[in-house]
Amino acid sequence: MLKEGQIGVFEASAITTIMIASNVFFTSGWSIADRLGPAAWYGILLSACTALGGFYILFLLLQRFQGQGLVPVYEAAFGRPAGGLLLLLTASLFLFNGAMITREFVEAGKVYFYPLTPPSLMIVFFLLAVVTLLHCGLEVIVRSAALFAWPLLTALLAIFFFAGPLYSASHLFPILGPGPVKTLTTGLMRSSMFGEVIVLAVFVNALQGAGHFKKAGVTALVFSGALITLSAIFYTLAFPYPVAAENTIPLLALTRVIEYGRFFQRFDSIFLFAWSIVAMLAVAVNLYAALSIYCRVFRIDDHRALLPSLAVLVFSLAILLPDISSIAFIYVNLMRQHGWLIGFGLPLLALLAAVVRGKKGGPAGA
Amino acid sequence: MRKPVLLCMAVILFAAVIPAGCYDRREVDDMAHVAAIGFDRGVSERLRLTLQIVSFKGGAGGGGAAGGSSGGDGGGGDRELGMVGSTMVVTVDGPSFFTGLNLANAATARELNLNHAKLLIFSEELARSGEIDKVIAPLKRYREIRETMEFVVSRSKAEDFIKENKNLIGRDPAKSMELIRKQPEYTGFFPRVSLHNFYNNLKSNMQQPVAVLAGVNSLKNLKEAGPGELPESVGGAGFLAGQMPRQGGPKRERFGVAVFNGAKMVGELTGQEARTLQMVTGDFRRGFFTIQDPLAPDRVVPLDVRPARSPRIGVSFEGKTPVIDVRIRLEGDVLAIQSGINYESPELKPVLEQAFEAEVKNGIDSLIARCQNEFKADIFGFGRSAVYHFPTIEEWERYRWLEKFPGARISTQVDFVIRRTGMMLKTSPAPSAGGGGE
Amino acid sequence: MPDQNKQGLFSRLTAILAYRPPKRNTFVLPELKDEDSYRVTPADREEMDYGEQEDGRETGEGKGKSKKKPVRAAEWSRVRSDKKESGGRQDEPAKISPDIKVSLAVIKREFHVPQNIDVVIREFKLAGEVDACIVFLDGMADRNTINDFILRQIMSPVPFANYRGGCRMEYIAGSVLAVNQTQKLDQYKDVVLQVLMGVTAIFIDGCDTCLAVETRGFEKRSIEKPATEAVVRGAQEAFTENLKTNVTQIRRIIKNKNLIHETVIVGRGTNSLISILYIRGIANPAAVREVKRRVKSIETDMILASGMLEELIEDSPWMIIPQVLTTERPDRTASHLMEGKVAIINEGSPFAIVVPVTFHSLLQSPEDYFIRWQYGTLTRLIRTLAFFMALLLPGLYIAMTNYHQEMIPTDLLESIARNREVVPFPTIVEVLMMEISFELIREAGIRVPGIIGTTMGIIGALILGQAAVAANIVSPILIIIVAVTGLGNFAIPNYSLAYGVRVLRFFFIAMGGVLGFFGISAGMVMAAAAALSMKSFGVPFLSPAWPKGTGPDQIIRYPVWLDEERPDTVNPLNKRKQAEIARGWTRGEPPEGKRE
Repeated sequence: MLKEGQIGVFEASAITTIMIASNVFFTSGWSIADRLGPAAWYGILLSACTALGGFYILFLLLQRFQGQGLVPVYEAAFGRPAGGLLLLLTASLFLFNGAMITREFVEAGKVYFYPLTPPSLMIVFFLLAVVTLLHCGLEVIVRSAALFAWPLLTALLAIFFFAGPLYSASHLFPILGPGPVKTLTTGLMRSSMFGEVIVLAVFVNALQGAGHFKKAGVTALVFSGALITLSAIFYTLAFPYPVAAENTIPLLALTRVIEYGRFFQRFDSIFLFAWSIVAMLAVAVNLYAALSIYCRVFRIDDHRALLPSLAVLVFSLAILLPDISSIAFIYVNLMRQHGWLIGFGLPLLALLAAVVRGKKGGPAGA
Repeated sequence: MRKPVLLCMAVILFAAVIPAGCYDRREVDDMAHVAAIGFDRGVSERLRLTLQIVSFKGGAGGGGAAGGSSGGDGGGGDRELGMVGSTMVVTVDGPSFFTGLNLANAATARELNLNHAKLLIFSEELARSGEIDKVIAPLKRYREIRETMEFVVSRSKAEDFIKENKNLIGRDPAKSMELIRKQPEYTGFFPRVSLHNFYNNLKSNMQQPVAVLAGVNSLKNLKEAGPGELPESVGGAGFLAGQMPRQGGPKRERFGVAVFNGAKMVGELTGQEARTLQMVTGDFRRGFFTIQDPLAPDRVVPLDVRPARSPRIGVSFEGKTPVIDVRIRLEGDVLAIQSGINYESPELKPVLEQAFEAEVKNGIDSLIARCQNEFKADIFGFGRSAVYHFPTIEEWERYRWLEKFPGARISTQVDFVIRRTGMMLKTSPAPSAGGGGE
Repeated sequence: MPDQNKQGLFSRLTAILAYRPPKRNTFVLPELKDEDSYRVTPADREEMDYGEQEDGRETGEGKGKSKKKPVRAAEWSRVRSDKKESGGRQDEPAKISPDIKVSLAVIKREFHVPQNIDVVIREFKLAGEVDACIVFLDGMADRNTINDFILRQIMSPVPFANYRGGCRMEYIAGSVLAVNQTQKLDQYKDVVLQVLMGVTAIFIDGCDTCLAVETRGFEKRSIEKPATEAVVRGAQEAFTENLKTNVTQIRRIIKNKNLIHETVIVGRGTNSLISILYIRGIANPAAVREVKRRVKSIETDMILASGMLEELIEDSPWMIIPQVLTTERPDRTASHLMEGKVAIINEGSPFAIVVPVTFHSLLQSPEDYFIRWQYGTLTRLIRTLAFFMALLLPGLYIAMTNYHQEMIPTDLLESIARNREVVPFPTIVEVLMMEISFELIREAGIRVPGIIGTTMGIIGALILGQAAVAANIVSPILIIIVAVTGLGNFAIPNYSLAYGVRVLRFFFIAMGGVLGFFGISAGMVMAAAAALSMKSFGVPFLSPAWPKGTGPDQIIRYPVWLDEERPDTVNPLNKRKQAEIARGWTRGEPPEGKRE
C-alpha cells in the first residue's frame, strides 16, 4: 500500500489548518464580506461550530470502524461499487480544490504582484514545487507544513498588528449585519470551507490511532476557525462595509495600506512569501488526498506513478477558466455553498448506512 | 520512469520555460518613477494630467556621489522642458487617467512607474464639479497606485501646484514629500488624509470625506510697508491655503481643509478651523495657539497644546433627531506670558485655562454650525458613534444619518489643563528708568 | 687545434639548424585486455612483468622469477600439475605449514621479494638450534622493539633453559618474549595483512602457527591545533592521521569501560583500517548494527580519506547537504558519543565521522559549550542568521530590485538607480559576475601559502571590488551584498554545509531572477521538501524540530545544569543524563554563611 509513514498530531493539525485557512487568503474572503458585511466574523464562528459538529460525525464513523481510513470505511458502508463512486466524488472535490487554489493564487499574483507574467509560467513553477512535495510523500508534506507553520502564523499576525492605526471600531457595526436570518444561513452553508477537514480521514492510518485523529481534527478546526475569524474581524475594522465588498482579495488589500512612518510602507511584497507557501502546501495536500483516495480505490501501490499525469491534469484544470470573474462568482460560490454536502453530508450518510446495514469492524487488510 | 524519458521531459520543460523570458523583470534604472500626480479639468479632453517624475540626476558610481542638483530653475531652457529642481513635470490632456498616462509615457524615455507616487492633487474646479468619484474610480483598481498616497485638493490648478513643488532643503524630492505628510503631528494646520481615508469616507454612510487644502502662494502677501492692521481674532491662522503672508520657501502651500459632501466639494476651512476639526475627530496632535491674555487684553499668551485624552462623543436619539454630546480634553504648556502676570500660580491658572477653553469652544461651535448649515456634511465622524444604536444594516441605511445630521442638536464641552510652564515659574518685572515697569 | 675548435663550433651551429632524426622511440602506454580492467581486487599474477631487477636480494627461489618462457597450451596442464606436486608453488596454501622453507617461499612470493625491498625477512636460529625467521616491513615496524625485545631474547639460549618440548611457539609467547601484545595466526593471508600493518611475524620450523608481535612504530605527526575548527576557550588538540592516537585522545576524554572500539578493514587495494566507536548502554543497538553493516559491505579499491568513506555510507549521496558530521576535534566527537551516536574514524584521515546526525548539529560549534549559555545562544542565533543570509541574500536582492521595487524606500531606490545608471549590465549578470569572482578569490586563497594567502585574499577582494565599482562594472551596493554573503558563508561552522550553501545560493539566484519572491518561495519549498525527506542513518534529518522531538539543544543553548536529557532523535537507550538537580550544592545550605 501507499507508504505513508507516521505523522504526529501537531503536524497533522498544521497541515489541515493551512489547508482550511488558505481560503481566507483568496477570493473567498471577498464573498463573505460581500454577503455578511460587519457580521462576517461571527458568521464564520458559526461555520466553525457547525464544522465541529460535522467533524464529530466523522469521528463517530471512523471510530465505528476502529480507525481505518476513509476508503475502507466507505467501501464497507456503501458496498464496493457505490462506495467507490462516492470516494471518487470526494477525490474529485480535492482535485478540483487543488486546481482552483492554484488558479486563484496565480490570479492573485497577477493582479497584485506580477501583472505581465503569463499565468502558465507561474502555474508551471507552482506545480514544480508542488510535484516535488508530492513526490517526497505524505510525511514530507506534513512536515513541511509543520516547518512553515510558525513563520506563516507570524506573518498573518504581523499583518493584523501592523495595520493597527487603520482600525476603527465603528466599522464593526451595525452588529447584526444583514440580519440574523441571513447571517445564520450563510454561516451554516459556509461551513463547507471547513469541510476540508475530511482530509484527515484520508490519511488516518498514518496518525497512529483514532484518539490522535480527534485531537488533530479538533485542533485544526479550532485554530483555523480562530484564524479566519480574526482575519474577518481585522479586515472589517480597516474597511467599512461598502468598501469591504469591493476588494478582490481582502487580506492583500489590507497589506497594501500598512504604513508605519517613512520606511515601513509598501511592504506587501514580503507577504508574497506567506501567500505562496500557503498556496503550495494547501494544493499539495489537496492533490495528495485525491491521489491517495484514487490509489486506494484502485489498489495502486505507489502514487508516484501517477504524478506526471496529475500535473498535466491540474495544469489544464487551472488554465480552463478564462478569467477571474468566473472564478470569483462561479467557483467560489458554488463550492462554498454546496461543498459541505460532500464534506459533511457524505460521512453522515455513511454513518447512517453503516448503522442500517450493521457494518462495523476493524482493519480487514489492505 | 525511464531515465531518457525523464531527461527529455526535463529538457523540454526548460526549453519551454526559459526562453519565455522573465516578464515583469524591470531594472531599477529602466523606469521613471512618478512622485506626484495632478488632475485638472482638461481643455481639449476631459482630463488634464500632470506628472512629476523624479529624474535621478547627479552622482554616478564610484563612492561618494558628487553633489546632486539642488533647487533652482536651471535656466530658462530647462524650465520650458519641465525641469523643476531635480524632477521633471509633464502635462498632457487625455480622456481618462490611463490614456493620459500612456500619452505621457510616449514622451518620456523610460517606462513610467507609479509605485512610488506619494501625492494626488485635484484642482478645486474638478472637486467642486462633483465628479471626483469618477476620477478616483480607476485609482482604486490599479495595482500601482497605493492607498497610502496623500490626497490633496488645490485651490489653484493642480498643474501649477506641481510646478511649484520644489524641495529646497536637502537633495531628495521624494523625502520632502514624505516628510510633509508628518506636519500635522506638530502643527495641525492640515490633517493627514490618504486616499484610503478619503475613499473610505466617500463610500461610507457614517462620515463625509475631507481633503487637504493646498494652494500656490504668490509670496507677495507679506505686506512690506504701510499701515498694518491687526486682524480681529488673535488666533493668527484664519486664512486659506495660498494666502499665508510669508516670503521665502517654495510657493506651494498646504493649509486648511477641503470639505466634501459626497463626491462634491462644498467648502473650505481655514487653518484654524482645520485644527478645531482635528480636535473633534481626535487626530490633533500638537500645535501652538495664541490667545488673548484675559487680564491684559493687549497682550497675548501662546500655549503649546496637545490632547489629554481622545474626545468623547455620545450620541442619543430623541425620536428621529440625533442628540450629540462632544467632550474634548486638552492639556498644554505655557510658552510665554507677555504681560508678566503670574498665571503660573494656582489661583490665576484657572483663569487662563478657562479663557482658552472658551476660545476653543467658540471655534468648535462655529465650525459645527457651519458644517450643519452651510456644508450639510458630517465631517466629524459623529455617525461612527451613532451606528452603535442600530442593529442591522438595513435599519441603519434606512435612517440615513448623513441627511439627519444637519438637524442634530450638538452640545460641546472643552476641558483644558495647563501642565507645565516651561523653564520659568514666575516673571519678574523689568524696571526702567522713568515711566514705570511694564 | 684552432681548426678543430672552429670546426666544432661550425658543426655545432649547423647541427642546430640541420635536421636530426629522432634518436629514440617515445613511450606509448599499451591498452589492456578487457578482463584486466574490470577487476575489483588488484591483479596479482605471476606473468606480469614489472621490469624487476635481475640482481635482487639473495633469497634463492625469488631469483629468476622475472622472465618466464610462455608454455604451449598442450603442455600447460602438465606444467600445472607438476607444479602442484612440487608442493605449494602455484597454489598458496591457506594454512601455515610447519615447514619453514614452505612458509618462506610463500611469504617471498606474496610480497614479491626481492623486488619489494621494504619487506625484511631475517632468518636466524632459535636458541642456536631451530630454524626460524621473522618477517617485518621496514619503516612500519619499530626497529628497536624488534632488536631489543624479540631478537635478543629469541636468539639467546638462556630463556630456553626451561623448554621441555612441544610447540616452541607457545613457549616463546609464554615465557621468552618480553613484548606486550602477541597473537597467533594460522593463515597466510592474515600474516600478510598483519605484516603490512607493521606487525612482526615470527615463523619457527616445526610450528604450524605464526606469532604476530606488535611492533608498530612508524613516523607520524604529533598532535597539533585543529585546522578548521578553531575555538577560543577550549582544548586545542585535534585528531592526527594515526588511528591509535585518535582513539587514545577519545579515551582520554571518555574514561568509560563501556566505550567500545571495533575495527573493520575496508578496501581491497589499500586495506584501510576503519574504527567504529560507540558507548555500549547508551547508543542504540540498531544504529550500531546498521553502521557496521554498511561499513563492512563496502567493496572498493581504496579509501583514502574520510570524505570517501562518508560518500560510501551516506543515505543519499546525491543530496547537496552532508548527512554525516565530520569533525576534527576529539572533544566534540566525545560529546556526540556520550549522546548515543557512533563515531567512525579512518586510518590516515584526521577527521572523524559521527552518525546519525541532524541538521542543527551542522550549525553548532563546540565553542557554544565552552562559553556561557547566554553567549552560546547569541552566537547560535547569529550563525542561523548567517546561514539564511548566505543562502538567500543575493536572490532576495535580485528579486527585490527587479520585481518588487515598491518595497525599497524611495530614497534608497534613487541612490540605487543613480549608481546603476552607469552600469551596463543587468542586475543578474552583475550578481553572477561578482559571485563567480568571489569564488575565484576563495579558491585562490586556499592555494597560496601562509601569510601571503590571507593578505592576498583581503587585498584581492578589496581591490577587485573597488576597481570594479570605479570601472562602472558593478554598483557599490552589490559589493556589500556579495561581501555579506561571503561572510555569512564563512560563519557556518561545518565545511561541507558551507559548500552546500554556496551551491544552493546559485539556485536561489536563478529562482529569484526568474520570478521574484514567488520564485524564491517556490525554491524554498523545494529545498524544504528535499531536506525533510533526507534521513541520516534512519533519523529524519531535520528532527528534533520536524518531526517533533525533545531536546532543547537546537538553537537556544540551555545552561548546562538544565540540559537533563539526551536528545531523542537517536533514540538512545539511556535518556537521562543528569539528575533533576545537577548542582547538588543548591540543595540545602552551605555549612557556613550568613542569612540574607
